[in-house]
Amino acid sequence: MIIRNHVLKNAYRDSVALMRLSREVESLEGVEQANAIMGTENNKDLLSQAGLLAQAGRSAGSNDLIVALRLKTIEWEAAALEVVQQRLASGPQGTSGDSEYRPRTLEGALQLLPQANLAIISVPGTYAAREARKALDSGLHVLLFSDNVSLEDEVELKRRAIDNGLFMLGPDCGTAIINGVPLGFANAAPAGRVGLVAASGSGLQHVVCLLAAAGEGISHGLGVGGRDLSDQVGGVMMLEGLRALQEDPATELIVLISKPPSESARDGLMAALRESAKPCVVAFLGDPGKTTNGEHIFIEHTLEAAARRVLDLLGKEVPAWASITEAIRRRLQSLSSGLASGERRIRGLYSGGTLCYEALLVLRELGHEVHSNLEPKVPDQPRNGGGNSGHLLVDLGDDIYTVGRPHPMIDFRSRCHEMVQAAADPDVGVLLIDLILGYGAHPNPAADLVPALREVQHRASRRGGEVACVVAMCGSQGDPQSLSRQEEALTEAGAVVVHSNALAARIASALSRNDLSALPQEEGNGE
Amino acid sequence: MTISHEWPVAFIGAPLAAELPRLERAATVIAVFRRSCYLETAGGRLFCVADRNMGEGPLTLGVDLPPRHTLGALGVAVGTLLERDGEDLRLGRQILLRTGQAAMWQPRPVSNVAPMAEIRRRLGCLIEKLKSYVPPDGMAPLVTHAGTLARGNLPATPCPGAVAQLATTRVAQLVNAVTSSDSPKVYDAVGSLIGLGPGLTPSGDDFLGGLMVAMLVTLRGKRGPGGDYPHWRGESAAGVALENLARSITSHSTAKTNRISAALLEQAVEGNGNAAQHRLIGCLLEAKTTANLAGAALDLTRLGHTTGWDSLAGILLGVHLALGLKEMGMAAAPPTAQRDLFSRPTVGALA
Repeated sequence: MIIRNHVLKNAYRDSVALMRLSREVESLEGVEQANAIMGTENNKDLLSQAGLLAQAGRSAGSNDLIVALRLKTIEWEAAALEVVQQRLASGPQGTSGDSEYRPRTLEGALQLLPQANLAIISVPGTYAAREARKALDSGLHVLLFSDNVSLEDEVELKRRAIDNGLFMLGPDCGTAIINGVPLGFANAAPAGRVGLVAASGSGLQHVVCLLAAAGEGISHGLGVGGRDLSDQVGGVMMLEGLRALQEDPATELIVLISKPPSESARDGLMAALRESAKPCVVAFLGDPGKTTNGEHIFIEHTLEAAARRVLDLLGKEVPAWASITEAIRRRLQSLSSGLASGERRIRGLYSGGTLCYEALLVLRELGHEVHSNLEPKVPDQPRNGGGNSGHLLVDLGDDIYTVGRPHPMIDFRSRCHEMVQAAADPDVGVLLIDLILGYGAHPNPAADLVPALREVQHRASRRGGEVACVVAMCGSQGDPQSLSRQEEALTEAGAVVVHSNALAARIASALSRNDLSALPQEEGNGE
Repeated sequence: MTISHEWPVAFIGAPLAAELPRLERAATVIAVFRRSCYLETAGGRLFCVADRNMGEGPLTLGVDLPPRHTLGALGVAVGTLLERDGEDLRLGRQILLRTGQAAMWQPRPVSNVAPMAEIRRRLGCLIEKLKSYVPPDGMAPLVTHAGTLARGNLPATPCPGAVAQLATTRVAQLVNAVTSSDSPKVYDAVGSLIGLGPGLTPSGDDFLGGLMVAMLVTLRGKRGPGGDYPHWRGESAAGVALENLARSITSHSTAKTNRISAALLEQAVEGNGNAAQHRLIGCLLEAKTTANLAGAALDLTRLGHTTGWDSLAGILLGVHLALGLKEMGMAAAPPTAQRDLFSRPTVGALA
């Protein structure tokens, strides 16, 4: 371990630049720790206590900047100093241009981009409503990524937006695709004829990916926030989205996606759908309704069924995502025969709440007893909703898992931890997870999941058992993570990877019952 | 090279507005950032020329800087001169700052202070709202424990982050020293905080700056021409506290922190904070206000990397501490021996 201090005399850099410099240097492989800090007496004491103060730093004055380095070996010093010099040299004297100026306020941003028509807001929930209000009052549509916004604020903001002819997508809206531009968590999708409005980010993403796999693109995908179809909000933004897609010449078919809406929201939507000139596929997952027999309204109960219906209406073939290949079948047979009879419980660990919910519905429809933290807490029930019997599906995007941490679509630590914990449970034989690719998501999920999968097998074998892992992969060919590379890496690590969440749940059910006969087989050899 | 950019000056901080007419010779740029720069006058006074969107401050000359422009690209560098050009100011060779329409900025005073119980309620609500969002950097974690620290106690759980952990003990020592009117201990505690932590303006400086401004506004203290607080002089614990803090900060900042931070601290001990600080303090103290307290806190935390949060921690503690001192009321003046450290043999000095 080598300690070096690089001192710049009378060097003033703004705090953000110093923070970025420290992080950039620290990201170098051979740098254990880097700290760019003013050379005041108290800071030198701080560095000394951290073991980071060297001779050069000791002689620094209060107006000097110390870059303190802890290096693995001396060979890394040159590389670290090169980054320091580059960063400090290009600092405030850099060329002007967009990349240099980062406005800190809405007003500053509008000065830079007066033609903007959408503000994406992602600030802590306490402040989000105020920022959204400012944006709406400035004539901007809003995509409100923030959660922890009160229902009262949501109602008021959506009313304000509608009164001004604007969209208020959210709160807790993670996904939109507008004119082919992915916003938030979104997948690469070809331009096409299908417009979607969803009170579910992962639901929207999943249907977009299923369509993209069939070569069918989308016109726009609007996320309206998970509470839009509640009684209080009344589905107002989904209605606005429906209206906009009706008027959009690029949209030929409309898809609506949500968990069961409130009675009043559903009635309002159905009335609007009856007036629709374009065919509409409605996926209200778990809705006990009420199939309407309009010529142009089609009610489906899973995301997979909704995508299948869309393709059918557009005269497109359904690709392989709804069935299993022969290779997968053989793999499942091997896994199933390896599971002991008492080792058949399913543990689902999801990053997408809607995907978790869809899996819950599929499993219950197949007659399984399933618990989940998605459902209202019952007294005396464990925090994660698990009872002493039945399967357990966990939405890791729930607040209790995400306080102080990034969303599980970005940060896999909590999921990997839960996977390994589950493997130690002698009753658990099937792990069921979703993997959502696309912009904004983890840049290389396999890098985190593969070690976790190996640890899962190790833990299971230590207790003399086995665990089958089924992955519902939600992604498209154009996604930055490379769909095929992710699938290859996970398959090599022993996971079974399919592209439909509903199919993944059916596979988990079949493994749990040691009965693969009900699983749909792909036509042809399927290799 | 001829002037190629003419930018109107939107505002000038009041203390700077008082100094600028005395600018006879050029001021020199000592630090350049993307959208602002610091300058030093021939008399050694520091001030800032900045994009107006960065907010008002006592030493800031706020300019309508067009988007996409950075000062560096327009030839502003360390050593560039700012000179008078009639009524206007020429910065380097390309930039003319038009001062004709500039407004003088100073914070709006708190006209009608809310009852202490209400102020405490607001403090508690704000801290509760901010809890989940406080970053572990600098002295930000002290935001959550402002109430505890204002009683001179340490939090039950240690703060995250090396700077905050170190600062917590020192701040508790400072509070105890202030409330017991122990000048030497105030001096030592302030010395242990100045220059501490990350940032161009170290966390400890931002914290003490926020603390000082908040206390001065809350206690309605203003230094007289003699440099002391005539309304409070020798009459109360509050007056002695303000004096001890102000003198300690002034004494330490020359040697223990950089010039830019020292210049801002010099303003803070006069009660001159930036617009975001005063807006938040106003929201906390003003009896009738419809302003959004959490929004004002957000505006402040946007400053710098940890500057805003550090300053917020200082403000919350400062208001708490000031209320406590008010409640102590007209305490007896502390023993003369303890005040001798700072006594000055001038008319009007503490007797």
